[in-house]
Amino acid sequence: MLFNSIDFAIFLPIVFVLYWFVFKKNMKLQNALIVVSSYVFYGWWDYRFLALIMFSTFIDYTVGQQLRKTKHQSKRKSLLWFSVLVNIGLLGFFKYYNFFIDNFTTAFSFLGSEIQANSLNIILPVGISFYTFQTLSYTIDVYKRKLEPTKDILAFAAFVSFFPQLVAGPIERATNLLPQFFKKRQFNYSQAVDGLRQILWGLFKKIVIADNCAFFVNTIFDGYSNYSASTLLLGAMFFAFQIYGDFSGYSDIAIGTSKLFGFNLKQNFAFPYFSRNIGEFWRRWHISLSTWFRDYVYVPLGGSKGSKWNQIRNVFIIFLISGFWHGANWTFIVWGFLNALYFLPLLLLNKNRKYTNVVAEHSFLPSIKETGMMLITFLLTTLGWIFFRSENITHALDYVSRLFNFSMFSIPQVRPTFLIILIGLFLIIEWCGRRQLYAIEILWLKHPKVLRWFIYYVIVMVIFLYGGKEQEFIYFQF
Amino acid sequence: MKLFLRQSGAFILLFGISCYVVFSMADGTTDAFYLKFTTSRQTSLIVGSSRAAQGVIPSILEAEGLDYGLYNYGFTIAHTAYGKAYYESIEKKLKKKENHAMFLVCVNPWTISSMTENPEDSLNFREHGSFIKNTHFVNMKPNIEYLIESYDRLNIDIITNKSRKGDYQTFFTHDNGWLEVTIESDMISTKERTLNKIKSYKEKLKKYSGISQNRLRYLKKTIELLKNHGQVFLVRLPVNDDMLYLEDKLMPDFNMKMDTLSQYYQIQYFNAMPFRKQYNYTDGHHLDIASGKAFSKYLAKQLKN
Repeated sequence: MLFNSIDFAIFLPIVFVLYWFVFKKNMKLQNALIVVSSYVFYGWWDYRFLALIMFSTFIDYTVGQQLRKTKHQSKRKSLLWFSVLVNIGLLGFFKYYNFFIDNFTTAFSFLGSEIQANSLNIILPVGISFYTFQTLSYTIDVYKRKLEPTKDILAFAAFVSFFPQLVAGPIERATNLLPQFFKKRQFNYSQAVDGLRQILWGLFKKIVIADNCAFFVNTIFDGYSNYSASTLLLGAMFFAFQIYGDFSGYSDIAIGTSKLFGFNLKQNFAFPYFSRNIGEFWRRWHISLSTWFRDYVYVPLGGSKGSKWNQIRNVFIIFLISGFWHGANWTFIVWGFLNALYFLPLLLLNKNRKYTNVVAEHSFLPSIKETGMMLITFLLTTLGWIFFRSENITHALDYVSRLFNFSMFSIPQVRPTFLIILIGLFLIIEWCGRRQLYAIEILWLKHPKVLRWFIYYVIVMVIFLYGGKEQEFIYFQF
Repeated sequence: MKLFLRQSGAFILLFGISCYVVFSMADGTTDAFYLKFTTSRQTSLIVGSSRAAQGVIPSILEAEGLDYGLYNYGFTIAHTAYGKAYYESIEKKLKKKENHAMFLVCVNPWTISSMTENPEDSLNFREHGSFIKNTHFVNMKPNIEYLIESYDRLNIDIITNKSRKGDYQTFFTHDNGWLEVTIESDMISTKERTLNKIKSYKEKLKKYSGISQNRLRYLKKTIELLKNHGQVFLVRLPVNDDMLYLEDKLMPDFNMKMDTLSQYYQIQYFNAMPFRKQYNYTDGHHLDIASGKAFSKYLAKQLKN
């Protein structure tokens, strides 16, 4: 079920009413409702893969119980590895099997020996990369004794399958989300209104910005050989806004929906295009995944401790894995590699943690230097997005090579004025709200109710009138 | 909670009313198809692809004495090649149990062929993902189902298209279903459009795998359905020489097939192809407005005889 579909618009109020009116007195029943509705939400897409979620839930719940009982370190380690292997095994099979088979076959054919290996017609289960990482974080935290394993399988199942963030995150840590399933939930008017506001902004980002950009991105990327360099640059920039609007929009809807049910999820995007360098960008982009990799891969590898070489190695490992996590395609690996390269000078000059505050924190406008830095960071990430969006490496390289010629100074052949205006307005609102968790969190709250409602009404109508055609969320494929 | 529900309810209601107002503004400028799903069930129909949608004008037929109230329910070859989807849509649009009715079934080789690798692979016919399959309500105004599910432009266009009529807006669907297309008619533009169209159809020809028995079966079913309610005529609209050449390549025995159908069902087949040089085309296979009027006049005379 898509957040931007009529199905969800019907599903959400039904679950909301059942949750707060029918089951409000019993927390366990509320958790059961969350599990059932999450399975319906997921099964709407393909019910066959529900078994996979249930299996993953069962494995990590059982491993958690065993870890509770076991004192022996070696046995605890075996249990941890069992969970890791099962979860990564499932992910590997569904997501990477064909990639490895195809690449092995190609590699062997280069060496002169032909091997017969058949790729399979595997459907990638939606959200597998997300819920697999979520359950893994539980087992690892239990293993590290950061978290008490839960005995309540219903609460655990609700934690794994919680529908707002099931298919595309934010990847929640058990330490944050799981305890919330044991707290009695009371309806909170402010929290619910805040949730609706965040859903509204998420829908705007997804339907108005991302879906409209998608149309032009597809046109330009599919027929890139017919376009001037300036058009190709515009196409890449549109993709930068598409992926941001798409994914951060999804996160906002997920977080907002959770608030309607009394849950608080972590912030997943913190205005990444207002970053002054790549280090800052990666602290603001897909925060739940970056911190997951930081805590469960980067730090165990030694992190920023040890020799410079070790630090460089760790940075490259983390970016390459992150790229590969996004998809079984060399384009994602190159994208990860490119970002590691961008990051390298910051690491070598010890400037990777230079900007931890919000840009222009105490002023309305950024300085010229800050503006320049944000622009450069944006252009660098845009260059990376070309690899992310392209069908294959040849496509990406050809696209990039066509950017560097004199047609860069010509007027783009594709000029959707309405979209450029919308993106401009969007950036202004995002800039005004950059100190908050999402752009319109407290924006206009000081204004009279009538005016505030009028502004929300305008946003809703802009979504209705300028909304692009319903598109799947990009991150569903990861 | 009560306050929250009351406020959200009021907001949703306000939004719902606003949507309804915008949808109510949709008309013949909205897109080339919308209006056809808003009129009531019809007793007499013109069915076929875009050639029929543009080239057969109900008002001219009526002016020439065919007082059947013919309604043009033709779309495009991408949507209304004969098949299950179009058949079901026609069935929904048809006002049954009428005796004084006339049906013009416009045919050409593309309407009974398929681009699928296997021409009988009806599940993958390209109209299956389109509005002709997905629009269940074909006589609802405003047609909210169509506008939500199938309208492939921004909703703001419903409003702005009204003021663009005849300017950027090159099409207009009339209340009788006729699709009026106004595009530049100077020699250079027409020549360029025709060259491009022929080129694209040459490419298409490579993808077409010849006659689809499934489509032919549905053409027969369509004739049978309509024949129960009135007089049915098979009509082949004219095209230019280059397009005819391609159609002959696709299906050399097309006229023979139509003759066979006409004999079997005891209906008349009007093949206007021999008179093709009398007409002008916007792109080689769509009649321009003046020629559409002339052709409709000619057709009316033939039908009256």
